[in-house]
This record gives sequence, structure tokens and C-alpha cells, in this order.
Amino acid sequence: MTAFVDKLLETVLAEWAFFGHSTRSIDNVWNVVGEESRDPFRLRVRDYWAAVGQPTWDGTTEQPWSGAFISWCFKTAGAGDSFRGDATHSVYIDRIRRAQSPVAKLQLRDPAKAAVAPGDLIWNSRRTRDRSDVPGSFDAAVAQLAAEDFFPSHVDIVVAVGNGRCDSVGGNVSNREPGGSVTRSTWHLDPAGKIADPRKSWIGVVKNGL
Amino acid sequence: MPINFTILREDRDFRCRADDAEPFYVGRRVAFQGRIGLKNDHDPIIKTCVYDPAAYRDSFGFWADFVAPTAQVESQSSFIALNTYDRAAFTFGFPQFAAHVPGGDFVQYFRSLLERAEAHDYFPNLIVKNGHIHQVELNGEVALETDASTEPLQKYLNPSSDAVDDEEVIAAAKLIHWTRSHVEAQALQVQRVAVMAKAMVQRVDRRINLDGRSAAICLLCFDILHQGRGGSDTFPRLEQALTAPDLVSTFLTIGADEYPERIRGLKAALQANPAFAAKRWSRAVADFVN
Repeated sequence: MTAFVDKLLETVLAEWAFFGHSTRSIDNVWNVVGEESRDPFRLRVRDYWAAVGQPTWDGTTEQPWSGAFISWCFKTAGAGDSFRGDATHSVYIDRIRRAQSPVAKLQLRDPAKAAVAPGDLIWNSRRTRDRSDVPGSFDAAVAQLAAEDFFPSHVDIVVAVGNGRCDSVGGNVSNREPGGSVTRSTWHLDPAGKIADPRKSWIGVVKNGL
Repeated sequence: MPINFTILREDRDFRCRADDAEPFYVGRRVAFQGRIGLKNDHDPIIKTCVYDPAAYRDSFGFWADFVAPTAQVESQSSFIALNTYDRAAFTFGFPQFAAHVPGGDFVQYFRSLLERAEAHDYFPNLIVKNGHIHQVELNGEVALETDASTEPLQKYLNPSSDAVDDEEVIAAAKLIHWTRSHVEAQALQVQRVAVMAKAMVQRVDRRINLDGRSAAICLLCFDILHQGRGGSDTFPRLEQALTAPDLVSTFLTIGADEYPERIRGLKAALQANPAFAAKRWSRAVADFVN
């Protein structure tokens, strides 16, 4: 791992601890603590929002803050201009895609072809009331990004890999009571280390070489 | 783009066409204990989408094998086994997930399905919100299931118990088509039943102490509870059976008079896989060990 990835994991895991170690197990059992609308968590979410230019928003704001969380983590870990965050995951993922070159340190890959490692981003599409037609594959997602169709999605940061599983941490993960938190999830991997968990429609992996 | 399903009826049999594709079999109208619904266990279609434990060992370890005997006797291991004629209103998949239990296995399976992107092709007006399935309408969302009831979901999938409804045929067709077309939909069944089996073994262990018992005994406990053939005094019967000299034979007698075919199937499956005799339940590990 690079020094940046070490710092990123330290940052992410500290936030997970701050929110009280919420988990979603490999058996899909949820243990969610750290209510986003209550202090001190409300104020911590405000810090996340500030990282994407919304300093007055906080944990009581209706907007989903998972993109702000990822952006804050990269900023806090010192990514600087190497990672231009956004409140919408598909927007910053598209920036990574557009900056793609053989020497780019962030590489958007097809999750069916890329093994995951700590520090990588795992990206899934997300159905909502307003938008239930979201991409289900890497190719479909890239086609929509190319058309500047920025659909609802979610990103977690991989924090551990081993024994056919990976753990990832993300913000505003739960869609059940008590609501958003910073949650650590465990996912199935295939024998080649690629994410293979049917609970989500995986549409991308960002390999992190920062 | 949502898939358009068209019903084709021939006497008691229902087929559906998905957009312009060749029609596929959905089910036959049957009557059972005053109710009317669909079943498909007589048709060759159920052999077209069958659970193979070997395909899931990498992800689920021995649990992939553990659930296989029950899958075989329950549904011929078919991912698309369907039953809409009994009190569960709508039962689907090789574990026969039943829709009538609040927060039960069908509900949890269906929630997971609806979070997948291709759900838009099948149920564009259903979403998961606050952890529960909702129907999206012009004026907002309506919860189809809560912690206390699945009645609206049952009505959505199977509006009436005394007829085969168009909605019932279409819902069945959608789940059959979805499951045959997407391996992830199949994997979600496996994941759900593996979780269910492990939870059931842990529950039985707490009640009658299975620590150190063979996987065969644990499987029989799971199957008895899953089918419900132990009656109202299941746990005393299981506890009593644990004192017998030949455990497997004794457990196989529970419900044997009413379900001889199922018992024969379980016996054959246990004999075919030596791991059931070799592996032991470990309470400390909360898993099977060698």
C-alpha cells in the first residue's frame, strides 16, 4: 500500500469509529448506530458537506451525503488536486474516467475484470423513487456517463480484503432506521478477488494508486 | 426499459411472452384446500434453472451443500419453483420463500432483488425505502410490507385466493424470467437460504444443544423446522430424538408417515454426501468444523 492509501484507510476507519462501528455483515445483518441528525454526528456530516461546497448543510439535510463523505475522506487524507470530489458519486467517477490514461493513478475498471484491494473504491448503482432506471453494468454506466447522465449511485472505500471477502466503509449507507451512518459492510469476492456479491449491482471499481 | 409481459392461456396452463420473445411456461391452475392458484412443479421448465451447490461453495462454503438436500425435496432444486395456491399466497424459489411472513425470507429476498438495477425491467414501480418494499404511485409511496404485515404485498402479487388473477400470472412470470436471466437473482436465493439455515441451526442449538452433533442431524433439524412437520411439540421431539442410539434414523422418523417421499429424498441426499457425517457443528465457531 502507498502512504496515501495508509492515510486514507486511517481516515475512513476513524470516521467509522466516530459513528460507533455500524456494520452490515456478510449475512446482511445490520447493526446501525450513529444517527446522522443528532449531534455530534449532525455536525460531522456538516464537515463532509463543506468538502463539496455546501458548508451550511448537515446531517438533517435531505440530500444524501455519501458522496460528500468520500470527497471529505480523500481531501482529509491529502489527495489534493488528484481527487476532485462531488456530492454525486457519478460526477467524480466521471472525472476519473475522463482523466484516464495509462499513467493515471486512479483507474476506473470493470468490476467483473478487476480484483479489489484496500483503498479502492467500489461503485454500485442505486434505485430511487425518482430514478429507478439505473445502469446494471460497467458498460451501461460508462455509456450513461459519456452522455452526461449522472444517475444515483453509491461508493464505498475498501478497507480490508481476505478469505474470499472484502470490507468496505461508506457514508449514509443504511436505508433503514435509524438512518444514515458510517457503516462497514462485508462482501463476497470470487476466487480471483473480484467483487461478486449479488446484493448490489456493481458497476465499477476505482483502482487507487495515489 | 420495463419488459412487457403478455399472458397466453391454454385451458388450465398459463404461459407468458416477454416483449417479443418466445413464450415460456408460468404455471397451471390448481385448487388446494379451498384456494386456487398456480404451480409449475410438473413442467420441464423447472429443470431449466437448477441449484448446483458446487457453483456456490467458493462464496458460502459448506452451507452451499448443507441446504442442498432440503432444496431437492422441497422444489427439485429449482430456482423458479412456484406455488401461489396455499395460504402463503405466493411462494417462490428453490427454498420456497413464502410471502406471508412479515420480515420473512421472501420479503428479505424480494427486497434484495428490488435493490438491483435490473429491477426496473421487472418492477419499475417498486422500490425499497426505509428498509421496506414500497409501491410508487403518483401521490407518493405506499408500503407493501411492514414489521407487522405483508398483506398488501400478498395482494400485489396475488390479489385473490379463489381465482388465478392476471396480476398473479404476471408477477410469477416476472420472477421466473428475472431468475432465469440473471445469475445474481439466483445467487440471492442461495445467500438468503444460507443465512436462514445458519440462523435456524443456531436457534436449535440454543434450545437443545447441537454442539458437536453431525451436520446430518443439524440438517434434519433444519428441514423439520423449515417444513414444519414436527408439529406443535417440535422441540421436545427433537430433544427426545437426541437420546436415541441411532440418531439419523430416529430423526428421519419425524414426519415419516405423512411425508415418506421427502424422508426418502433426505436419506438419499445424506448418504450421497459424506460431509454430512464428517462435519460437526461447533457452537464456539458458529459453523461446521471437520
